[in-house]
Amino acid sequence: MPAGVFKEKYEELMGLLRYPIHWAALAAGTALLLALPLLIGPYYTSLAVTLAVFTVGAIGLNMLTGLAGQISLAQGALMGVGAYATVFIAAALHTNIIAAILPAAILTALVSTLLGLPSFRLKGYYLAMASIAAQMILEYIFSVIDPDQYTPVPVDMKTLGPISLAQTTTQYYIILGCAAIAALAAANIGRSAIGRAMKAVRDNDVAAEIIGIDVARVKALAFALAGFFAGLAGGLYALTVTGIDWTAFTLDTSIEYLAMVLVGGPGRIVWGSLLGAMLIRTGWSMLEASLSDTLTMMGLGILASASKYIVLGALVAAFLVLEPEGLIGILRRVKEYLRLWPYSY
Amino acid sequence: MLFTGRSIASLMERLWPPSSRYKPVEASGGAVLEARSIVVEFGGVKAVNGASIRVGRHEIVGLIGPNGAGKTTLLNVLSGFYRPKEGRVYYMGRDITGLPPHARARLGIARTFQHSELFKHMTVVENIMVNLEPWRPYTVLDAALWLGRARRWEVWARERAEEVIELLDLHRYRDRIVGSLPPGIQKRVDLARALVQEPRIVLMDEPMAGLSREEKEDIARAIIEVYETSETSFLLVEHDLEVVMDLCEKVFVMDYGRVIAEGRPEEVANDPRVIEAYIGR
Repeated sequence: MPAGVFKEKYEELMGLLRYPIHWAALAAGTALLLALPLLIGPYYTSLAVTLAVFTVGAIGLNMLTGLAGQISLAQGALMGVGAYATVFIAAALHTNIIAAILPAAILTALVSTLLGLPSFRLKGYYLAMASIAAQMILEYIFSVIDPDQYTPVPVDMKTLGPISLAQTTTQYYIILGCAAIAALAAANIGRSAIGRAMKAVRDNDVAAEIIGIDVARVKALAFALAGFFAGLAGGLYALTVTGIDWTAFTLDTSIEYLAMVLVGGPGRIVWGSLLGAMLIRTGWSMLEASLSDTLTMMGLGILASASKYIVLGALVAAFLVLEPEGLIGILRRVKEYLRLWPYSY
Repeated sequence: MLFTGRSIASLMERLWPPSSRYKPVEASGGAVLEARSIVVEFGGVKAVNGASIRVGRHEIVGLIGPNGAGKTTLLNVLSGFYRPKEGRVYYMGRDITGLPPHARARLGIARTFQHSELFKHMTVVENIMVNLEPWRPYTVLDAALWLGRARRWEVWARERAEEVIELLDLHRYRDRIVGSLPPGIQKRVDLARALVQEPRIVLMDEPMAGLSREEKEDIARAIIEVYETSETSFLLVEHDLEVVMDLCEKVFVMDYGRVIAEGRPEEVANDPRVIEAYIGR
């Protein structure tokens, strides 16, 4: 009987589920997620749906920013591209939304690759500025396509064969499934040679070029993947709403996405994105509400309207300074503490 | 052993059919890498001024010279990082002067660095495995779905990396983050990174700089072992003359951007021009 878990093949060592506890966690997690709508009621189910949608988008940005090291502030607009494309494709081909999501995501990937072209020459702040420009251009295009800020998503599009997807519960299961597949795909890409090449470009692009990595191609691929996941998130978002309003895809959304990545854990594409999405989407509004109340009570009502941005800025700044690895870093330390408990070393 | 199993060289031939990208001409007389009359200028300063060097098949060649002689610049021309103002670079008889660095690496020209240019936030084994990425045979879709092709190649890449880890005795550091390792180990990882590509030639920029005697011996032993068991050539830019004398069969001496002497190490060491360049008249 071996005293621990020992791997005899490299393939086992590379697995996503390496230890018995992973299998147990997978089983428990699946059961919990499947039973969730029954446990928490419709309001929180719709919140979970939103979280799943934003997690998919954040995974895309996390691959781009956390793995490949390219900052982008256009993820929100790309999600919009995905949402509009999904509805337009579904309307044009008279299909349901689910069938239109994949082509829409591929289209978004193409748009994103195009917007990523400046990354071949620009780095850091300059690339961030270029991506804000891309965000603005896309917002302008949305405002031309959709001047009423309302593109209805007809209920008869929200079907999958005989099943209607208008209910929050059915949406939950469909979106959960899509998000799980997307997360698995992202994790696989992250542990493959492609993920390593992206990390190499992030850490040292000159050396990456010298060892034979086509840096421009890797960057283009990272943008394409970020766009694909943004498009996927946009398509799933379209499924959850009655009409698309492009003001949901403004620079605020893009900043929110970047905050999810930075707070959750850049480079930890699945768990970092999930935790980031959870904290930013839920914790943010709670903190915002309490800060806004406090400010009003203190007679600083004039600042209360800005409390949203104060909270977001403070969160991101605090994580960048105190915990650059994000929530994942905190979790890892907690895990390490519990593993060694009750001894400190 | 290191060079058994599926050879990267054959993958390379498949990826780069001789007709594509680079021009086949110029009988090379067996030279793996050859630079002819290279001139590199930085704002009017001629860092390299008409230097020519030649590394044959299965040779360890040294490139020495005082500081500022243009050795590293020449190395950067060979690896494609600088484009020369004049002169051509030939690899296996083909003109590769216009190829970007990543294409040269794919052809079998590996390179190590004077200062650590490793990927700091990756583990040692990842740093080594990432060097096989140029030969990745599968697409993003294969990776996303973790299909057989991707899985088998990943296992193969890991086995290759482990062979080089074995060669350079890096077992203990396998899963450590490279940025946290001491410089001596980082130099070994850098060499491992180059060797995993099974290159035809390794360009080494001061592999021994800043190392202790034992660390130098470790690196030298690895170079000799690879040299003895394969066809690989080495070009060493080095300040430690003792190392050069022990390892190299042939030495080029540079000064003021020119090659002032070449030959066997003991001949070169007694050459009056070389003594003058190093010590002054």
